[in-house]
Amino acid sequence: MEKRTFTYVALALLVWAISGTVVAGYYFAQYNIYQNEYENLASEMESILLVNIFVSYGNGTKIWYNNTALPLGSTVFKAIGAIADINSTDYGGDLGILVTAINGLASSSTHGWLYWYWDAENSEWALPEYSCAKYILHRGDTIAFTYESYITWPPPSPT
Amino acid sequence: MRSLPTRQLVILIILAALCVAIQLTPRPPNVEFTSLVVFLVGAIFGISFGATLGILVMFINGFFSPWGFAGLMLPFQVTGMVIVGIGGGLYRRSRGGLYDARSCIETAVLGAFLTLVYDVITNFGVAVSYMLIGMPILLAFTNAIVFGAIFSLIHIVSNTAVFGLIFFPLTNTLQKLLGGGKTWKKEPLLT
Repeated sequence: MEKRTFTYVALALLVWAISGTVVAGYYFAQYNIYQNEYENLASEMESILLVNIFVSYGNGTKIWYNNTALPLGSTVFKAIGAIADINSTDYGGDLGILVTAINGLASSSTHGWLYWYWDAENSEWALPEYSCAKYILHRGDTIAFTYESYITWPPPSPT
Repeated sequence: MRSLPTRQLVILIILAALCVAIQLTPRPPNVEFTSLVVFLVGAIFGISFGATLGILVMFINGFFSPWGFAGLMLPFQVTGMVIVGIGGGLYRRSRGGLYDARSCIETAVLGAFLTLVYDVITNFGVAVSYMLIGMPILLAFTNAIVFGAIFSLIHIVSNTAVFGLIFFPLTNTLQKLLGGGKTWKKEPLLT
């Protein structure tokens, strides 16, 4: 091979080798960064729970918020606050905190917000008789908030 | 530096002005034509002109770059571009000032190599700036080189293309403009 050609081929290979090494180093660093982030996320996942939340606005609008992540020990009240703008009133005593509005739809003298939990054993929706701020969620729980009339009792289950 | 005939002097001034203007124009990071023009001036007018233009352009760029004031990076950028200018001058010597189609491949390789050298020098400057804020030496160099890798790769690939595709047609055109195939010969250009 001619000396001149050899020089340029060697130069090109040198550039390729150095660039390749540096880019490989870059991807190795990226791999380590994402590996650490994944491990941090996995450890955080151990201290959170995932729940499904259903909101029915009473006018046909129904929205599911599946796999909503919440800290361990969260209540239903915290869960609805995590996915919607809410107003609430603390009545104290046994009644406790009640949700009075979700995303601008407020309770009235005839209608209000009710919360439900899915009873997996009996495969039906259950209507707790205590404040949503007292219901502590467990992993995989499914809860619902429905806007219903007080006039007929018990109200219809979420559908 | 030797003295130049008027027409060559005008070309040199135009190239210098073009180089500064291109460098100061907003553009994607690490896609640039400055290295090509500095290399070209080195390859046409010799090492001293190439190196001087490298200093001039990067000094102005250091203050008026669309990416902001270069600060600590200024001496490293100047050094890198001086080496590009010197590279052009040395290429002129090796080719005796005569360029042909084969120059496309040679300048593409030289473009990649000189860009790599430039990036190593400027990354060294980045590492120094990291060290000044208290980062350990090894970590500073690793970070500067590794996290600048993609930008360097873009720079090298784009300059390989720019040098390979533009250098020869440009010298060819300038040769014709200045009236002859031996305009850039190694011998003195005085008329």
